Amino acid sequence: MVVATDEERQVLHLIEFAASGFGDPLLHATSVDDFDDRLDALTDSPEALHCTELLAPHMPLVQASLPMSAPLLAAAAGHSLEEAQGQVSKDPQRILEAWLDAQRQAAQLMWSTGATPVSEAPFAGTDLPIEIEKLIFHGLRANFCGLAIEQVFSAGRVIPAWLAGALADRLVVSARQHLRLLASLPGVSVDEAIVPDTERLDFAAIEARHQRAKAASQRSYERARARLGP
Amino acid sequence: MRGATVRFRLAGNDRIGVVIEVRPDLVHVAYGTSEPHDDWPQVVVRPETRQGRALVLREVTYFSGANTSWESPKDMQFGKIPCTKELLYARVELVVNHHAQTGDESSASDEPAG
Repeated sequence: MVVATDEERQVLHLIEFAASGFGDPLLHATSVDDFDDRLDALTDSPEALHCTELLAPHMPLVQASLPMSAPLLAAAAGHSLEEAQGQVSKDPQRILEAWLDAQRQAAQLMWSTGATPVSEAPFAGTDLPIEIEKLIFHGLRANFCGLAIEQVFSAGRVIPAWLAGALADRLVVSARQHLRLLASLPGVSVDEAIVPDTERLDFAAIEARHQRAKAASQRSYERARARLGP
Repeated sequence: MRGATVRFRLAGNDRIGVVIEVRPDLVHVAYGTSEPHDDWPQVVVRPETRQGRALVLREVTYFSGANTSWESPKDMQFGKIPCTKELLYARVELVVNHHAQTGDESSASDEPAG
């Protein structure tokens, strides 16, 4: 018998709260478009983002309590993952396992004693290059799909096949995209067969392009101000 | 306001766009055209898609990195539904790549609307 510490119990309560508060509404989607709109809105919700930030340092416990398995979800809905997600990926389970492992590694790097403070990590500020912002969005989207899946299992919900398919598809597609970012972080190891070198990010090049684009945007803004007047 | 869908007049034409950057007095809008620019990287949005419905499109619309404009928010009509995240990121990426490559010297709408 495993006895949870007070801290673990609090984290488990927070997961339950997040699954109910943010995962459950996704299960009430009435169409695929509605589901995607709900996912988009969640990634803009300050409450959902704060909750994600609170859970991030406890990644091993979070992962142990979330049945983050696309094939399991698809099976629960009574069809195979291939049917559920079309031709998105040939090996979704490997991608999910690599993504979960990379998240654990990243969490350990960021929150372990003596690690670089999060505020000093690459791209920790709000001025994010668009490539990074997009991949962080995918990370959030995959994790919200995970919370919805947790809600399916913990509440014993029966969901329609189209919704299971949409959940499995978004989970795997977004996990794959987020994994590109995680695999590019120094200190995080991901199998090259899953994320080849050609798909990893060159942070220096991204930052240089971001700064060039910002300077160009500033020049065009100043010209527009001069043209439009006060 | 970033990601808002907008309609506005530009050089005598009605334009549909997405707010990609916000400053205190002006917003940067990436707008679409009904004509394709096959020699430029572009995003094509069809009216019947989720993205097309958010923009309330009536025809296939082409977005390229060069078609941007700084506008005053008071001159624009804001849509009820925000742009989808995937389209917003695709649009911003086109503009960023265009700006980074050209230094913005060839932005389509940087000149007076006329």
